[in-house]
Amino acid sequence: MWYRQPIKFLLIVCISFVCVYGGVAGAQSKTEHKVQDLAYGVSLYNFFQQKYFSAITELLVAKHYERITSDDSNPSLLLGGLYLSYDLHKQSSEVFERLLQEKELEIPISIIDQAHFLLGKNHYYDGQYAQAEKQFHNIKDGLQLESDEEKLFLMNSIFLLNEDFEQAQKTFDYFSDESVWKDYAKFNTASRLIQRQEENFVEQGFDILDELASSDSVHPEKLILKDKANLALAYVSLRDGYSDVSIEHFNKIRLKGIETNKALLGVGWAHYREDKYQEAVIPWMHLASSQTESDLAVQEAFISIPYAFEKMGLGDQALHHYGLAVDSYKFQLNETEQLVDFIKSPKFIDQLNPGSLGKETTSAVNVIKSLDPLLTQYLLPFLSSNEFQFEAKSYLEILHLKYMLNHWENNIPALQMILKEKRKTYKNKLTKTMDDESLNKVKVLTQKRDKLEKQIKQIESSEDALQLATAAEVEKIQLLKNNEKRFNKIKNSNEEGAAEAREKYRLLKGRLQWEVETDYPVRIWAIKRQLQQLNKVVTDMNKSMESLETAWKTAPFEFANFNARIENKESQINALKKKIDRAITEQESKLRVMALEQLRLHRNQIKLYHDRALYAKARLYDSLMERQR
Amino acid sequence: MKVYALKVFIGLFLFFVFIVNTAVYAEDEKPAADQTEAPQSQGVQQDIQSLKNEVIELNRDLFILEEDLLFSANTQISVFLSLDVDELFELDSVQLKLDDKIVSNYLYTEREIKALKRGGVQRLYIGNLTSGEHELTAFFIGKGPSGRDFKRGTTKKIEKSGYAKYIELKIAGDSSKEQPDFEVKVWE
Repeated sequence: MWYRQPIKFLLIVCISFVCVYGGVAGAQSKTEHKVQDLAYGVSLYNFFQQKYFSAITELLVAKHYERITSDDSNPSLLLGGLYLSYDLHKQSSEVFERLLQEKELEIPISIIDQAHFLLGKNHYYDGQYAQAEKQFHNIKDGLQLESDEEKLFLMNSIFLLNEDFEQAQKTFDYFSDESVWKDYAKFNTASRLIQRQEENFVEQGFDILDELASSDSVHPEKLILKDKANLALAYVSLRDGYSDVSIEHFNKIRLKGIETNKALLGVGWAHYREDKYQEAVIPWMHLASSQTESDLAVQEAFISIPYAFEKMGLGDQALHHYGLAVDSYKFQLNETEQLVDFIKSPKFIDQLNPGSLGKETTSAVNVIKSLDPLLTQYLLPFLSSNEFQFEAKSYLEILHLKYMLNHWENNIPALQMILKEKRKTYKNKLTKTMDDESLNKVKVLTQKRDKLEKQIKQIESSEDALQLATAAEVEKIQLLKNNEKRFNKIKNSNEEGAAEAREKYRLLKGRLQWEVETDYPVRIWAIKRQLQQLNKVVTDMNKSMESLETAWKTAPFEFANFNARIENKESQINALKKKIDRAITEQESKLRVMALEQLRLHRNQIKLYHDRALYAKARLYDSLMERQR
Repeated sequence: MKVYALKVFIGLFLFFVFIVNTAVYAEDEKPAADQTEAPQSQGVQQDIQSLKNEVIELNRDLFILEEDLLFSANTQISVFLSLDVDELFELDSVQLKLDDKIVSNYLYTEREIKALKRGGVQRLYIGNLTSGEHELTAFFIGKGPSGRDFKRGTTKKIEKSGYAKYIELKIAGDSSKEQPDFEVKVWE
């Protein structure tokens, strides 16, 4: 499990690469950032900071509000990858399976392959190796190089688990030459072959180790594997009696590496085996004077030095060094006893959680930095192991969950208060709106609109254009009407000017009527347009009023609904908090048990050395005394 | 003496076995070894996974509840920040004002800057606005290619309707221009 985090991180980086740059075809000289959806971008922002919890939540909330509008499958791929990174394999598998079932969508081959790959990884982590293999076989050629090599590595691991060593070795041909994954796969294959303890397999295993041991790469991880291969080969040569060959391999190991102490110890034993005791003492003395006393290779060197002195016939010096070894072991037994008390105390747990409130932790690497230096001195390999890191990470993740629940628990009263205020304010506002004159105004306006509409219809049906006359025209028409009787009186008069006046009256009346009737289509169109506008205003007002009325009616239900939701979530928070407290206690206990067990093993080894040193010292002392007598 | 030497070599052999076993570098999924300790450990792990999922779902529901209650769609405004600048520009902080009132002041960590540079988008602000015209003003402070301090600002009139408003502030530019600037995009 240890390699899940780095591998997953690399993977998810690949996914995000596909996600962010997916739309950018081909090679571009300048990096181009395109954010397809804001919610998706916010999720990426959290993901890039390894805040998987927040990133998942962001995508789920966006999905609820249908905020992710692009049609491609990147968000699903990201969500599945995020679940995988957050060790929620079931959820991750569900997302990928759903994605792969969406046949009607035109999903690019790169996305399909990535989904198969991640689904395969999910199965692999869950121990479903046959299903994992099936998913890996479904991959065509759309994977990026890094993912492809990881796929090969996982395939190699599956073959090894099935003890299909032939297929496992065939995978080597498909890695790129410079691949680090290839070296890991080779190392694992070699280890498995050697562990089988059958001549043929062991031989193949050593051949693979030989290849790794002679690598000329300067890649840091490859160098570590090279050291490990050389160390294994050296110890096997030593066991088989080939001291020279073993020294050759030991000499290939770097002086500043994680295998240095083991190599120095081995070099000493190789010389010792050839009866070169003086040469054997040199690397052991170097080890004994190193600052890594708690390393078991150094412990072994402590007791090996006097043994070599004995062989050289230097009894006094041997006695002196046995004494030094006993003192050193005693000192360490005392220190480790203190550590046992420390691990059992609350301080140990306090140091695991260095008070980073609310920090989303996705890696426990930094935990070591805050631990007691004495603890790291004795248990560094264990504390750096993936087993511990994984469990410590889980512990920190639960603490973060607790922080989140506390945060929401504190927010619940605020939400309730806001709801109460909202209810109050809304009621007041709505009452004011519903009570004031606006209701009457709407009614009056509606009546006016109806009256006008009726009038226009009547004008249209009667085609009485004069009804559309302007105010000035109406005044003139009225003036003519008022004088109509007078003109009627002089209708038959032969008085001077009567005929002229009659003619003028006729002309004026005719002109006025002609103007109004000629303009009729324009006037009726204009007035109908005004009516339309008025209709719109009235309709909008009515709608608002209806909406207000609906709100008035539904608001109590909505508020009740909110209240129910808040209460429901509050009870969920309380139930989950209890579960989380239990999980925290269990995980703390688990971490303690793990640390104590490692310390017990370490102490047992020191005790063994201590007893051996005491016995050898007593034996040598007796023989020296015997000689003196 | 012979017995002791034998013990030492047995110890050496065990040491070798120890090395080979612990050196199985990327392969701790050994069925036999892992399954023996599985039941209890697996149980706790499964509980943790289940808890994680339950809290995620609850967290989602609470976010939705909070948004429904506090930022209803007809009044909601969200302002996002994205970065499209090259490596030579370092963002320090952003200030956001709405109608001349400071609503957000944000100082960025190195980790956040990296996430923004890789294409992430930060939700800078979420709040409520009444319908009508409003003024959004934003400033950013940072360091340019030659370590020069930068301060740039932008102002945009926004019309708030009855729908949620999403505004993206993008700080864009490269060292050839030497002056990154804001691009404001109103998302529909």
